[in-house]
Amino acid sequence: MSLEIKLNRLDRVYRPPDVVDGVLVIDTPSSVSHQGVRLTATGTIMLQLSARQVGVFESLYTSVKPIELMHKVVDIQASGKFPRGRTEVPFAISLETPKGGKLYESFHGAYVNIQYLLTAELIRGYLQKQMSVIVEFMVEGKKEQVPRVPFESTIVNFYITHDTQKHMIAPVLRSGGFKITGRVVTQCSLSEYVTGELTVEHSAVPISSIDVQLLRVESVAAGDRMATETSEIQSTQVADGDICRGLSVPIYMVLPRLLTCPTLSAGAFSLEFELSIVVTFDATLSKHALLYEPNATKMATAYETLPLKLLRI
Amino acid sequence: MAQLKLPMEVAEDVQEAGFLDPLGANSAGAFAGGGLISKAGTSRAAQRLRKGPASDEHAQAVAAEWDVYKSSVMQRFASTGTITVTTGLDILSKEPKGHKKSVTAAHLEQLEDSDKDAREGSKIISQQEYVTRLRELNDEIALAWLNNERVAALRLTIKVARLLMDTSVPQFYPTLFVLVTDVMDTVGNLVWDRIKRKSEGDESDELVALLPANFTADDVRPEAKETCNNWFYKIGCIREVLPRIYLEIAILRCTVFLEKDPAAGSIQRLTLMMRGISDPLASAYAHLYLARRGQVLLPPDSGDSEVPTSYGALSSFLQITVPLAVPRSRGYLINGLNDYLFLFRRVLYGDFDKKIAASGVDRRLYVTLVEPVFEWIMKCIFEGASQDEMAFVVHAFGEPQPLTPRRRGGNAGQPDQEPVSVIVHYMLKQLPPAYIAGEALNMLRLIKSSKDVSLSQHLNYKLLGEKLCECSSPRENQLVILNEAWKVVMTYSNLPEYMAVADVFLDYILQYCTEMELTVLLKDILKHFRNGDISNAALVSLESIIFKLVTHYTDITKVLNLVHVVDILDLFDGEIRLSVYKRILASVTRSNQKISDPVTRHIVFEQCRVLHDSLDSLSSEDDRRQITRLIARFVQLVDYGLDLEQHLAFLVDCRATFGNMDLLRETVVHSSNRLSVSTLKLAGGLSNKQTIEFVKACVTFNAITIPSITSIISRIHLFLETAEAAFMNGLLSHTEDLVKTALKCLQDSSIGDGSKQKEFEEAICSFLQKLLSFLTLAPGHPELGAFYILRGILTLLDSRPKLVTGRRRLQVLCGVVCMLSAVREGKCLHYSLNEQVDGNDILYFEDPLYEEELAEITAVVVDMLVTCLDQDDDKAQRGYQHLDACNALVTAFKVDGDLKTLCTGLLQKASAVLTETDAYLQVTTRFVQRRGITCVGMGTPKCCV
Repeated sequence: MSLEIKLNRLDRVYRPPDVVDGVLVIDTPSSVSHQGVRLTATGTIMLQLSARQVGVFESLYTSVKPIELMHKVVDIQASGKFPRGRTEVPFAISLETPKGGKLYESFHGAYVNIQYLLTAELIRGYLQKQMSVIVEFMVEGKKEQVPRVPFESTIVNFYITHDTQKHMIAPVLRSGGFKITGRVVTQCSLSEYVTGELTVEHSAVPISSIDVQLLRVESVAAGDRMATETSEIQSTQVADGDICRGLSVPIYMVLPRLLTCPTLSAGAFSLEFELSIVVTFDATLSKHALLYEPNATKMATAYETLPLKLLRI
Repeated sequence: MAQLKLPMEVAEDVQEAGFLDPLGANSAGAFAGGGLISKAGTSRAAQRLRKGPASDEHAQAVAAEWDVYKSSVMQRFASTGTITVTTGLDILSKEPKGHKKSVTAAHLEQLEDSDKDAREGSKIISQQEYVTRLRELNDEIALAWLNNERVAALRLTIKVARLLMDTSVPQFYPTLFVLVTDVMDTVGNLVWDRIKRKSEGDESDELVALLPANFTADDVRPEAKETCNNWFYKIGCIREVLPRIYLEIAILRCTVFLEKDPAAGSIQRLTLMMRGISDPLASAYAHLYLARRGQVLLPPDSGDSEVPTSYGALSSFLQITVPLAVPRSRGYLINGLNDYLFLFRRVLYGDFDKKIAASGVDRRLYVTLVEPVFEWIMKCIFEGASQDEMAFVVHAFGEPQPLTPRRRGGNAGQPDQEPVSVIVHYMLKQLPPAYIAGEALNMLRLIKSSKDVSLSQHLNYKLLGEKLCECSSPRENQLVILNEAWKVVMTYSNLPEYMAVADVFLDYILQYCTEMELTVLLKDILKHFRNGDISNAALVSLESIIFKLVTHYTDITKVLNLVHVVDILDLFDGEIRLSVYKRILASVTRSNQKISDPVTRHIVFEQCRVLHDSLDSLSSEDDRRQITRLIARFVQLVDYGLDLEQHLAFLVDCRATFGNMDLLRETVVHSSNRLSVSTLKLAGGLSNKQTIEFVKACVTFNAITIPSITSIISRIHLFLETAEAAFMNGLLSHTEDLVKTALKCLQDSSIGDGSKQKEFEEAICSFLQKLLSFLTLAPGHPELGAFYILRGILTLLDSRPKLVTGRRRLQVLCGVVCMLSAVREGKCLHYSLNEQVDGNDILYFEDPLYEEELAEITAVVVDMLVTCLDQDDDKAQRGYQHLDACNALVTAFKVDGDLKTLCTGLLQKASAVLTETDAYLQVTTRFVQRRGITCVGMGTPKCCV
């Protein structure tokens, strides 16, 4: 005997107040009696503290309570009996924004998880095994009516030079110097791409690679402070090798779905994104540096990190 | 190397599902070289395709064209060797590797002792193994796809694409590119098919509705759009820029499911993204792949150049502003090529020398590896281009100043921009000759200013010359072009290069200019040869020049009289010299004109001598025969006009010089005989003392020459011919001597052996007949009798019974009978040129002794005739011989009793062995009857004609 939830939308993406509809398929080799079929839709935000930020013990003891966004129960079938073979039970649950709350978009991160689940339960007698099936569905926010920001104002120019680096860079790089300029559109629709351009104006040391990294910044409130953790979601190479000087190279990055959502900030947590331009130089470092310098590999790279605002437009 | 093919079972699935996917089936077929188009679907599919927007016919044409080009590229760079594969990229080893290393890990690896690491982390495999492994990968991808493990298939495809990042063995890269892009094309087609099927059917592949031929994104079902989007997302997430670009190009065609008119924008963006590839080889081939796929997506005639920029407001990229005249199907190519040139120039300036040297090739070879890319892209750019477009492109790549990127430091070492010569070359190659002819001066300027290492400048001049020969430039420019080009070319110090250009421009001069320019050119060539090291390559070009001259002027005298030609001929040496001389002689013989110019005669004679001397015992029979023929023909063509003595002297020279050739001696003898006869003609048919002397010289010359000829047959014929000539000029004793010598030759000759026996006999028979017919004219010897020579012949026949046998012998004897009868008649049957020579009929007019002798010899001959009759074993032959004899006798003699008996006997014998219907028998019987002989015991012939 098997249960299966088939949603009518193939991509399982819903925008409140859409109705989640579909069928529950029961396939059984012999007829089964039951005391009803119940469907539950839940939405929760699971938060976790980063061990690095608050310390191992605290992260273990201080569990942050999950926040429930929605909980909806519907009985879709009164008690009865399913005949042998395939039975389909249609269902529909509407997604309504709860009063005073908000249905955040689905998001899967390291410390913040916003997840929507649909559970179908076959309620049976006391001694019989309960049967259930769980399906995740995605919630996307409605397209926001963002106040029209002039496009130009969202473009940020950046300069990466040996002087702008906050970490220690290899002496070769410092002495030779380099300058990489560019600009990026920092306000980006989730359905589109991160765009921009960059130009290597000058670099004495050959470049081995230029990557654009998408970083997520998850913050969870722990007591009176926020535990913030930054992690890399995706890295996209823009330039491979020592490219021509003075020739601008486009930055063009697709945003991975599920791993991104509109930038948001609620009381207990916040989700932000950043764009990091990483320039790796083809510099040979001394053995000494490699052995004794903890951040040695970083010495051959240069960074520039820019905030990225993601919107559902 | 075999083409990679994926088993196309996917298309068959569709058939089972109850409908046909014409596009899918078709594109699958196109990929597999057109062989796999499913038969059932062709008619309907073809109907729909004809209406298709980016019509698949076009796609197929492009694919076919590419297939041809592809194999030529693979052939060109086919090499054997080994490839070092680093484990980082090694999908070629079978054990599955984990997902890619993190960025930091990769960086760490680079930072560690690279040598040691490289040694451990790499293995060496042969190119054949590499190819085999790629083919296996192809199968794996197909299998994964069929098992619905599309993500696995994609992962493998990405790995294959990643192979292209490895340019450590540059010579292998073109081959690798072809192999990998075959895989990419396949995957692209598979994805297209799948999305198409999704947009036409529902989840369980049940057909919902076929997409219209001109479908747009609005017709596509949302599920299909979702799938399509997923593909783009998955590919967009590839970290490395090169595989990402390749895969996106591979599935670019699918954008039609998503947006209304998206391809042009995406292509433009991809072109820009390629700026991020810094390896010159990888970048070049990426451009090639885009150009190739772009050709399918944007047919050359597709509309306006207005590109919907997908690049938002950030379109401030430094690019050539392509004028509106250029359709967008070509605009991106121009920009892409221009971008690439920035990189390519760095190769030329040596930025990559270290890397190139590390991979074991030199810069020149490296450039060669990129050439196919230039060629293909230029071809695409000029395909169907208008005049304005061509002008724009030529300007864009010819005068790149306005396109120089803003440069602050960095590559400041690059000097001023000059056109890259390899680009100029392929531009010239792909531009239509008509355009080049119109813009020749402009082109010349380009060529002059482009002199980097990518391509030797002389090749460009050569190409220009060839193009100009195809299509003429305006008349007023023709000389200017030549001067401009030559100003540069004449400074070349490399002789083969100089000659390669000179060779082509000679054509140009012959076509458009006067002899004066030709002289100047030849003089310049000569100067170069005197100064430079003469190499074989240069001589080959020079040879070609001579060939062209000889072919252009049909008259060899004209060529040899050109100033400097003779000096140039002196430059040749060895084998090439022989080849040139042969060509000149061939042209002499082909033109078939008399050679009366003394200089020409002398030069050609010298050449003949060289050719003759080149023959030795090792020369091939063909060579020998060819050269002999050429020289003999030349000797025939030589003409001294009225100066016959000089001509004879020339013949003497010839005989002395070309001592090795029988054919030539024969020719000389013929010519000398011709001289004798022309002497008589000149003298008006009457020989005087002077002519007699000269003819004597000729005859003596022949008499000395002939015996040295090997072949008896030609020898006797020549003797006879000379005898005839001597006779005409009244040299009777000479005539007699010559005939006697000929007969003596026969007397001494050994009989031809075996298989040649028959021909030998035939030749002798015909000679004897000819001689007999000559004897009807020739007078007898005053002392030795009127039939001195005839007796000689008879003696010969008697003493050498094996010389001529059977029917041939009979024929000779019949000839004798006829000749005797002719002599008896007393009328001159031939027309003699010289009236001073009297025949026997006049000499022995009514001389009873003469008559007696005639009768006697006739009797002897008839006896011989009869005795030789019954010697043949073959019955039929014998019958024919009887008839032969009968005919001859009846023709020759008056019919009387003896003859009657004889003939009747012969006829009876003949009819005994021959069938009655035999035509010869019937004809003879009738003829004999007409002469009054009735055959007893023989029926009259039944059928009369």
